[in-house]
Amino acid sequence: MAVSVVMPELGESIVEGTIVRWLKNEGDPVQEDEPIVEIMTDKVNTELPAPASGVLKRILAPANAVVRVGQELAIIEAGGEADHETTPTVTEQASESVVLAPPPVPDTAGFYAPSEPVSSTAEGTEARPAPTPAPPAGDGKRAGRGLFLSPVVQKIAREHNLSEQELLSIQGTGAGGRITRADVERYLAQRAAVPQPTPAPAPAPQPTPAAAPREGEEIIPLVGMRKAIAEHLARSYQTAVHVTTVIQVDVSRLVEFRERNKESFQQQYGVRLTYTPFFIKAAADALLEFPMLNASLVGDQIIVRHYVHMGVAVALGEKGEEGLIVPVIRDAHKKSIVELARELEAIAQRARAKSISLAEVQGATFTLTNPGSYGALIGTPLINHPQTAILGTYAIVKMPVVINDMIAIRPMMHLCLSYDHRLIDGMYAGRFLQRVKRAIEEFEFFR
Amino acid sequence: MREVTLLEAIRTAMWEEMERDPNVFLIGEDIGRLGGAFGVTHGFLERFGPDRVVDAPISETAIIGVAVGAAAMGKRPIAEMQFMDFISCGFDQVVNVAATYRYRSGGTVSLPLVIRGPSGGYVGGSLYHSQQFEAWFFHVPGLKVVQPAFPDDAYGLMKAAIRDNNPVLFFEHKFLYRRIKGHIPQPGEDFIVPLGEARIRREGTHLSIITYGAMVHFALEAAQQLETEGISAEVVDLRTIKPLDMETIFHSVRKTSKVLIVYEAPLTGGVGAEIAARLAEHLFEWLDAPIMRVAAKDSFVPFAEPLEKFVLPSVDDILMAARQLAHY
Repeated sequence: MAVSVVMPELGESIVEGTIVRWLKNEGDPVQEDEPIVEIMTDKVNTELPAPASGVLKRILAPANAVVRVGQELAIIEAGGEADHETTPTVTEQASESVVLAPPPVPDTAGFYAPSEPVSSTAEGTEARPAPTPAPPAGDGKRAGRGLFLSPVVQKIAREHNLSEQELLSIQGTGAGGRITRADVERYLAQRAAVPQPTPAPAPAPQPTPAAAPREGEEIIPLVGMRKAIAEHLARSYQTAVHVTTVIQVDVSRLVEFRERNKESFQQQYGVRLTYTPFFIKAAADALLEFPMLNASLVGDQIIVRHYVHMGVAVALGEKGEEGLIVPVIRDAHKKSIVELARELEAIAQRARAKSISLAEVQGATFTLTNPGSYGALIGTPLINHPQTAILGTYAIVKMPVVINDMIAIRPMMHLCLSYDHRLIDGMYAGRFLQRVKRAIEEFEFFR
Repeated sequence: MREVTLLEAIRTAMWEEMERDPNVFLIGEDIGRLGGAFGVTHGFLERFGPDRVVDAPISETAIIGVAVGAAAMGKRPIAEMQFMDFISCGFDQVVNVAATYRYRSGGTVSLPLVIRGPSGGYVGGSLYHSQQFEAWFFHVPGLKVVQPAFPDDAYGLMKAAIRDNNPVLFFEHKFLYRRIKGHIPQPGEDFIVPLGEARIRREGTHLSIITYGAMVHFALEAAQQLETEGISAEVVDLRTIKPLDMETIFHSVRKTSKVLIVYEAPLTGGVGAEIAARLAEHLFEWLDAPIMRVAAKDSFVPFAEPLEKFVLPSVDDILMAARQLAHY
């Protein structure tokens, strides 16, 4: 019996992935749940387990292939030996497809049903058929990203077979960026004016190398995580109005505390005592008092959170050459230093082992980055869109400082807060930093 | 063409109909010797005599009752309410007698009756001289309800009302009586505005303001202001409130997809509520925004001018709602 290996849904916004490598070759025996292929997506790298025991009969998507969710990647001849029938019938494949993950949940549950045109009578609404039952899944009012589509917009979209992607690409001019009837009609007029034989949007122009790389150069395709980071940061930089404010913190107490307690802490709690949990705690507490830094600007609406999901940037690879991932510590404002330390270590380990789940990298409301870990003295971190601010903790360096008109040597650290100036004014950011600074300088150890 | 006020247009229509048809006669308080509280029937007694211009006692029940009986016998009475507010005294004659007559008689008796009179606020008339009661009669089968906003419509609709074989309630807005001037055709042209037809008084593309009576002028003023803000508002003057001209309303809303309904009566249970319901029912798929209403607050009309302005809808109220709708 042939069983298909299908590209699973790996997250709410993931539509495709790249085959990194096959861990099994054609003809190899495989056990159910044994990893057989490594896949890279915009968010995570993951290994797919075999859906059934048997023999890997055919690989349909070779390494480096970009595969869409739901695409068939390979066929396993389940149960027995590899047979030599090399042409599996289509019906076999179709009927025996096994999806590895729960069935895909579209980003836009309850989008209009494009296949159900309502007969539009010329005049007089009396002839309109009785309202048909709502399209499957949902009330049909709300598309992804919280977009509201008015009845007339849905109607026009349906009549013109506008794809969901096309519709969402329209710049809304209504309240909260709502797509109005005029917006859709303008779009349709423009679409009609520009002859576009293919309905699908043309792929972004790829600077394909005209020839082989020149001497001393190599060419790496922009794929997977690197591509996601590139697009994400570019969008963030283009969207948010970045400003960075810097403050100096005297970390004497913290350094002293850590030196004194790091061994006992490790023994007692089984986790290394680093500075980061203290910074997370200080920032999370301050964010509750300065919630605008914990907000997102979406259209004309500011979503303010009174909870803190703290993203913590983790560089991957010895030299950071393998990219960066931002695991999330949920409800950081409710957690003690010990809990934060434990969770941080666990999550960072999983990130480095590339075994982190998508859920663990989604939903951050604010980000903490620690360039101090590689000695950076000061910097201007980039906001993790659609968040509003990011706090960088920089290298702790002993410096001469003036205290009571005397020069003293103190371990000092820069806190650099980049924030979206559209939402945050300088004073608010400054007050937040002072609040964090005070929490660190005057900290009491609390579990 | 003759340039007349809205009041003169109504007077002229009645005069010409009385000249044309001897069955047409007037009955009301102070309409003969005084010529009417607002002077609408000025000169009628001298021209048509006391048999056709009947000064009645102060009893709306009697006035309407007599008119109903006369209509049933083949006359074409025009009963004047000195203020439309007072029609409540004759309410039973209107809704239980006049409205039901044709139905009760199995269609054998028609009732060519007009009940007319001044209504509406904005003149410091206070509680009992400012009300807009059209919604009460809008609710009753068997009645037609009219409120013109321009002299030509008032002239043509009054003629149509007099010639109609059913009871017609003709609300004349006293704020417009002498404020609004316009041209009406020469006597020989026999100009009629059919009952049940709305008129688009201003074309627009961004939103439809559906209204009637004095609010038509408020809406037109608002639309002019909105145009300077880049908002194109269409103004639909219903002219006849019942039966509603849904075809014209639907046509406008299919064009604009956004609706603002304006009426002078209290918001709750007003004519606009019915229009909103029909739009939601039949044109749901054409809507690009919530249906909005501007109307009087659910209160009585106060005497004090600032309070009257506060309670009744204003041009500013219309502007605010229209802007909100346009930017939705």
